[in-house]
Amino acid sequence: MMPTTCVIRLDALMLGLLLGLSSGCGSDQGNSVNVPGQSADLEITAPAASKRIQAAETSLSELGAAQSAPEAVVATIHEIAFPSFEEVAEPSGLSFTYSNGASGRVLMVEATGGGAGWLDLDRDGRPDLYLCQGGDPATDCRYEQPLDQLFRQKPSGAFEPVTESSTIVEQSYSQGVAIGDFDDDGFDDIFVTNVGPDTLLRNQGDGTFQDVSVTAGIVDALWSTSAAWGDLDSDGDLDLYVCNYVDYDPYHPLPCGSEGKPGTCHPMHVEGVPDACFINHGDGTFSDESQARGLFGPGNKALGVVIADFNNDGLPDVYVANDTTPNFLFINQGSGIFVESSNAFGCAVSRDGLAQASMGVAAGDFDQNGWLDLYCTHFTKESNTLYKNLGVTGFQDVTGLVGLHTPTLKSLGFGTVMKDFNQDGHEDIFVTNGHVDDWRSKGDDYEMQPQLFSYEGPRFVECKFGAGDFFSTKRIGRGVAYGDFDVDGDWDLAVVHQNTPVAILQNTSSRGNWLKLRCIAIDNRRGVGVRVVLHQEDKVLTQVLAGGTSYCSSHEGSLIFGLGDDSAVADLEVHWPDGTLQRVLNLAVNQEWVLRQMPNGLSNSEMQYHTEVFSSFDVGRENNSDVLPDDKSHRTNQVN
Amino acid sequence: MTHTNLEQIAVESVATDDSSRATRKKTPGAVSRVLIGLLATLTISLSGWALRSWRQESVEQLHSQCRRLSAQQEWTALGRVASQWSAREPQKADPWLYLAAADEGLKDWPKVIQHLEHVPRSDKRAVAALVRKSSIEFETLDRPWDGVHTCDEVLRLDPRVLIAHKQSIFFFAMTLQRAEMVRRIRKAISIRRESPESYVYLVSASWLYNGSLYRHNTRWLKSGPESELFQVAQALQVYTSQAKTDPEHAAEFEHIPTAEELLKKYPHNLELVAYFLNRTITEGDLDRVRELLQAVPVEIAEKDCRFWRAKAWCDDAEGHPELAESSLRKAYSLDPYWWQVHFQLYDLLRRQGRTEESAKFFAIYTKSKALSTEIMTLNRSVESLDSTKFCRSMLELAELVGDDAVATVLRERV
Repeated sequence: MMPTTCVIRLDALMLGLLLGLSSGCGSDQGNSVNVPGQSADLEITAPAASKRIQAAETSLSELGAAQSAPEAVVATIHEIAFPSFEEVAEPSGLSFTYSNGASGRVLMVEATGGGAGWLDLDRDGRPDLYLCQGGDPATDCRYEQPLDQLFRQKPSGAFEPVTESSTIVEQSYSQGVAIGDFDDDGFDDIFVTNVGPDTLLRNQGDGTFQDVSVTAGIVDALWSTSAAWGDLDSDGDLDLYVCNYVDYDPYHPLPCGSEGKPGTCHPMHVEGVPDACFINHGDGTFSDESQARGLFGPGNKALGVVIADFNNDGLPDVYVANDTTPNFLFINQGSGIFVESSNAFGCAVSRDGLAQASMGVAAGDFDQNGWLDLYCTHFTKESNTLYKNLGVTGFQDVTGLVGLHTPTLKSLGFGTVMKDFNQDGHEDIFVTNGHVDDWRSKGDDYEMQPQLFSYEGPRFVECKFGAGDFFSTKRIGRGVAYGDFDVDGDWDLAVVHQNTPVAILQNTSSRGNWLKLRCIAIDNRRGVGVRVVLHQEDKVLTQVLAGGTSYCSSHEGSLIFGLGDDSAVADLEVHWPDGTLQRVLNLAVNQEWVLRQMPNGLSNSEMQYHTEVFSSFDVGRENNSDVLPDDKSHRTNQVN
Repeated sequence: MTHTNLEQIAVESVATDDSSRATRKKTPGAVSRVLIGLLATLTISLSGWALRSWRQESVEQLHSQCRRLSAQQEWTALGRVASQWSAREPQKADPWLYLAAADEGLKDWPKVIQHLEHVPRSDKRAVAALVRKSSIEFETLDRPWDGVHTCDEVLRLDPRVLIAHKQSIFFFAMTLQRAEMVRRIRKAISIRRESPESYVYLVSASWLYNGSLYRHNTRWLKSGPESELFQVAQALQVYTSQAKTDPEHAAEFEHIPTAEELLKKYPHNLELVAYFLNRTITEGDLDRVRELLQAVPVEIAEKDCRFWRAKAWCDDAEGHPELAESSLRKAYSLDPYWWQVHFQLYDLLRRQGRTEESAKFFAIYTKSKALSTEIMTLNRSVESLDSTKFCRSMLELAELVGDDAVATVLRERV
């Protein structure tokens, strides 16, 4: 893990710093400003900020007078430690390429597929990986098509294909995957979205999976993309939200394109189809109750989904990213009934009031105000959008204000995650890009480089250099899933590309202190929906184990807090999915901890504290001694 | 020959008069004087009658010739005859109209508009002549400012002339002189002489970069290659359509300077600064927005809702929602139809928890955005507009934003 540095020009940060000052984030007296949360302090020489940031005047005529002319900013070169990754799929033995089956027909479905899901299929504590496969989308011989693949991570850290032994035979034209323990037996199950009927694979706990789609009542023959697990009806078990895209049959494709050349159909020219929400009855069966529960909206063309509590009322809400139509935010009313409220919450359209071509969506609390923010990926020339969650009044599109507009204008983003990769206490954003059609004659790249943004408060800075060789290669990126595959307490990534190999990005960042948690709820062993607020001295950080996020992908069910330079013990407030609150005090950092929900947990209203520190990683030993992990002891601090 | 006779007649008449006067001096008898007087009177009357007859006959001949030559499209001959006629009767409209027709047949456009200019304003065909003149100035001679002046003259003669309203509004729309365009649209609406596209331009007054900007301004630049107005309007379509970065079209627009270069050349240009304001807001560059707000003279900027919107953005970004609201409401008062202002007001009020007020602006935004989308999807021509449907939607929007002047007229229309 070599420290990696990036060199940036300070004038690019100048505005952001001034913005921060204007909102009371720093001194307005001096000429030197230190930006916290970085391994190397930024020092800038600038005119006194108070001269430049004046309260807005009430008339345009006074505006000019209120401003002094910008003075020269003396910018110097500084170094910032940015996250970095190393591509290790090949040395890890993981060889897989998602084939979209492109053969010149330019079928619309060829544009969207490719997802990955981290799961622990054998509960050995080492993340394994499920990868969707495409093939020929309009084949007459489906059974001859390539299978989705399951890779198990061996104790050595190498991956081995176990598809055959797992008895998984998933030959549909797959798009994405969602991992969840729907029967709460402690073993991760797999839901696969397809162009055509979706598949639910139940983990039988012995290394094999059973296709239970039909018996479980999972009936969705539409073109599905992303999916997410979450306890939508608050009954303890996991329900399933499935994004459906448009009404398109690859066997009877719409003629699209121009000037006699076939082209990918524009979603505005294809009818949308409703999403599905499969409510778990707790007996192994589901029923689609999307309409009855208010989980539908006009112009549904869904590609991305997040299930999380966006209004901090303790109930999971659903955010849906739609392609070219306004996004949805279904607010949970408390009885498993939802109301589409994206306009009331300000996260339906961009700052300009425009519906965007949303693909993937990331969630995280980048501004550390305790409310979950959203980041949506979009088409070229649109820029991705960061919706800052202000609290009870909803969201605000702050993309430009935090420096995220211009860097993504040329990109067509799909999978995205917002995580603190270098554990400096601030969320970073990873985006994988790639076009849906060959528009090179129009100036768009077809294959595109992925992007990594580091939050340097109050603006994000793109890590163009130093993040790793992976970031200099163009590909057609789709799904991204985060998981700590090397079990060292930081987030690694699986990135799916169309027609080029999947990448495993091992996190090689020079990182800060950290704390990793696995939360086991009483009725929900994967802890989906848990919200943990960490207090460490003056620092307050929030992490949420959301359902879904990214694009067509599924992540490891853990939380990792980046703590920067601070190695002091931390206190936790654990808000369990059932609404109970639990306090954990004096937790040592730079370790992975497993937290189990206390029976008869204390309610929020009582606001009583309860201290319970669980021994680290006791779950595997307690419940699954036959599949104990090898020596992957709790990592102590790797930060120098 | 006719001309010679006319001269002879005139000379003889004068000589007769002189000899009678001499005789009268010699024989001043009363009867003689009466006879001489009668004779003289008769002579003068006959001469006048002869002259008038000759002239009438001559004009009729000229008219007849002009008619014939015009029908035969013998433009050169027509020009010659009409020229004679115009010299003889410059106060009449017909010879000028024939002259104009002759030169139009010869495609001598500068002469055509010269002739049309001579058509007496008192003639009932003056309006038609001037309308034709303005069309030639706009479309053929690429002298749009002359066209505007001609339209204005038409409207002074008869404010009800629809085409003159249309042409001048079109010019101000195509040159991005938005304030004057709106003033003219509202004037046309107030006298019920608006066309459906007037409403299109009214709704899009603050944001539309028409798909024909490049084409028209490229032509008009011929009349003034250094014209800042035409250069900026021409370039803005290139910038807003991102044509310069499109490999398929980049070469075609190579000669257009970059937006930054043009701003350097015209740092105070209203439209250019407004374009950069929008771009810079999107990029989130607060300092730059502040700079740009100062680039245009205040007395101009404060009449432009785009500058108020930009100021509102600054206010909002700096944490002054009350100032932002004030600026946005000012923008709203300047252009009640701009959907982005509706959206921003909704968004700002929503973030302040003012749900009911926010909902009101969201309803307006929904309507104005739908209308704007309809405009944007017009197939490059307002002729493809379903004007009835559009006017109905426009009426609803005008009622929502409280624009009674527009709503009243639209109610009559729909």
